[in-house]
Amino acid sequence: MNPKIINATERHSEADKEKSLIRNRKSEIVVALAGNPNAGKTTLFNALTGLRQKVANYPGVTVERKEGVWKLNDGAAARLIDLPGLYSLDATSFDEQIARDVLTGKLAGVPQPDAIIAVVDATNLERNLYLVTQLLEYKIPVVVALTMVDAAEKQSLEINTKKLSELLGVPVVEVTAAQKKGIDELAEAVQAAEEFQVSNFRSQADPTNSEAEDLKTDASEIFARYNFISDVYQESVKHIQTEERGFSEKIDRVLTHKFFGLVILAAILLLVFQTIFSWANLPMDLLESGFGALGDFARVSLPEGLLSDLIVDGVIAGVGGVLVFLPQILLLFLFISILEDTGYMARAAFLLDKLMSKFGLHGKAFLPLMSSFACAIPGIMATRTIENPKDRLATIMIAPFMSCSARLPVYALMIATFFAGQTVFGFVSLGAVLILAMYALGIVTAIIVAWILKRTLLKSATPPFVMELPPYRLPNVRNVLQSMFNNGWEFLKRAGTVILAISIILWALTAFPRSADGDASQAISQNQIAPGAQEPLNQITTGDESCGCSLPDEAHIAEAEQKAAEAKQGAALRNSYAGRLGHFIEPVIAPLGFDWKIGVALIASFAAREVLVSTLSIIYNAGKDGNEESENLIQAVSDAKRDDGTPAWTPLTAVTLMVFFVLAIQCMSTVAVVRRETNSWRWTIFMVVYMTALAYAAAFLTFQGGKLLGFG
Amino acid sequence: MDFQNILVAIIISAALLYIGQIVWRKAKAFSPKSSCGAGCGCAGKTKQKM
Repeated sequence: MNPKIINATERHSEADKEKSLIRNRKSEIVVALAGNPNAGKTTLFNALTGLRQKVANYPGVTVERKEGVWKLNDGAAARLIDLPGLYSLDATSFDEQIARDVLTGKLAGVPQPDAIIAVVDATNLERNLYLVTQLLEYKIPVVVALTMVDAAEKQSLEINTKKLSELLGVPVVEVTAAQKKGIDELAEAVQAAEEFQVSNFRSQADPTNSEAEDLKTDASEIFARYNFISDVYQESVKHIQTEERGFSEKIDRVLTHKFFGLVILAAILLLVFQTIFSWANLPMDLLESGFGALGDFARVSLPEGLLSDLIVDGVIAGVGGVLVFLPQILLLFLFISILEDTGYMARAAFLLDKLMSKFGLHGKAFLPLMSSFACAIPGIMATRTIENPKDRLATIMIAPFMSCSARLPVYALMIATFFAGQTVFGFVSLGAVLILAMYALGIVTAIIVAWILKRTLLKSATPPFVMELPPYRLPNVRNVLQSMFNNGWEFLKRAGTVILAISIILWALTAFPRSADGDASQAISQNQIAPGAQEPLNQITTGDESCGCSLPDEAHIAEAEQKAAEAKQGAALRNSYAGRLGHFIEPVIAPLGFDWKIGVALIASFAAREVLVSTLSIIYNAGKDGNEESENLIQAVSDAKRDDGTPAWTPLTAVTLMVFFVLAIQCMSTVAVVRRETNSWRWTIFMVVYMTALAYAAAFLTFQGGKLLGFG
Repeated sequence: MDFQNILVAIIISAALLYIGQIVWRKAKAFSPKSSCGAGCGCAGKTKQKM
């Protein structure tokens, strides 16, 4: 064994014993969960805490902090802190710095752990033990939770956990979190770990020493660790010789092939989008009918007036307009989670990493970019794992191009309105192809921008990167459902807070100013009413004198009254604050084929992208005739007219809007996070300007090019 | 001003306050915090300007 191994008992100082006694007196112990990425840490955390978990940020920083309550065997509770996924504690990345600060108790607001559970992937024992050797030096009891033992057995590896425990000097518990196997044993080991000796490995550097914090781990230190790990591995793991190739390896030959891999990736994504659209139809229709019925009920139940208008046209139309897309959001995260859990997402990462590295992007950029498909904010925060500031900045600058889940309602509305039921080659949904095209547009633009940045403003050499491909596994139902539930809940929370508030404000902007008697239409002077709409009324009031025909019948009168009412409503909307704002920006957006109503929605969507949907719902609701039966948003968008009576939307306008949304920054929160993460106004402003300019130029080319080609 | 109008005014004011508070929080996020964890990289003093 390595000469650096010393007897653990020698290191137990009086202070440590005292600390241990204090811990024993505490009613709740604090346990930190540490491990390599893909070691099964999240699955174990979910299994230990269930729904008793909360997600926040570490104080002062934006690294995600997950905490939960773990009910131990004797009824006591442990506070479980999930540390970021780590390969080491060398503190070269922000995640590693955070983990070190937590373990040394130096992070304000986070207590120093009483015990550490080191999650170790049995299929990658040597690499995982590197982190364990570092954890052992923190003078905190460590318990190793050995995961994926079954997968290791399939790889012909036989691990002697008893021997492993002896050699490491800490308890080792085999855990199958998905089936809750070994959880009780783990709890027992953690509770007993208070008395357990700290480790059998000790390097010369003391991590808790303040001087050591800035100390770079030198080569001899690394060699010492690997020598120790190598000894432990050889004595505790037995390889059973076999000719059979691993199942994962065989599949990987096809799935990570440089050509077929990309074709399969595109096919899988296409299938996912097509399934999302077809499966979501029924629940979306039900939700839509539900909100329609709710609106009608509120209209009938509430006394006529401002409050009724606010509830029906503002709250129900606005929030309901966005909420109907909940089934699609749930399905999107269901599939993302399944792809992650099976191990396919890592293959997709590997494929695209090969492509991206050719354009100068760091290999570590891929995971932040993948996270950005859910939301750019965690994606940008995840760039902290990239050590080189220029590589990190290049990744931050392109992360918002990945189509996040907030864009999905916008794409879905456009597709449902203009491309529903249309197919390519007779069986592939045109909607699914369009969504795939939007995702691809974001990825390709990101690669091109990164290529330009890495050759100009952010010139630097790209270091090599080794990516780990986890073995294929059956997805864990609990994990998949939990991810779907969490993301769905986030969407509902946004709908119930930000989108609700913005809907109310937008309704007010479309409903005011009003005249003293409260009738919006009275605020409009007669000459503001469209001349065409005034005509029928004039004809009725002047009778047969002007046209020489007989007196109009009741149907004509009703039709004329309806037209006049519509015109008044339209004029009231034009005269509203929202209308004035929309008209103010209309000259800028007119070359993109957008009228002022779309302009209002574009401005509002800077708060959150999905607000575009609720804004259109409110605007078209306010603009329609009050006598009309409540229509759904898809119908309203399809029927919407410009001031000159021509259709406000065409399929080309819809595609143009989608292109604009792929490339525009359009998210206040993302801008705030970029400012915070780059600590630079210059780069934040650069990002907002270049993305907006790019979105405008691409939308302009799409619309004007489409018109030239006859699609307008 | 009848009861309905007062209620509507309250709801709109509450929505404005809520959004205002969010914008204020986001605006604050534009500037680095002074009370960060040691060496976490987020404080103006410790973070390397990119």
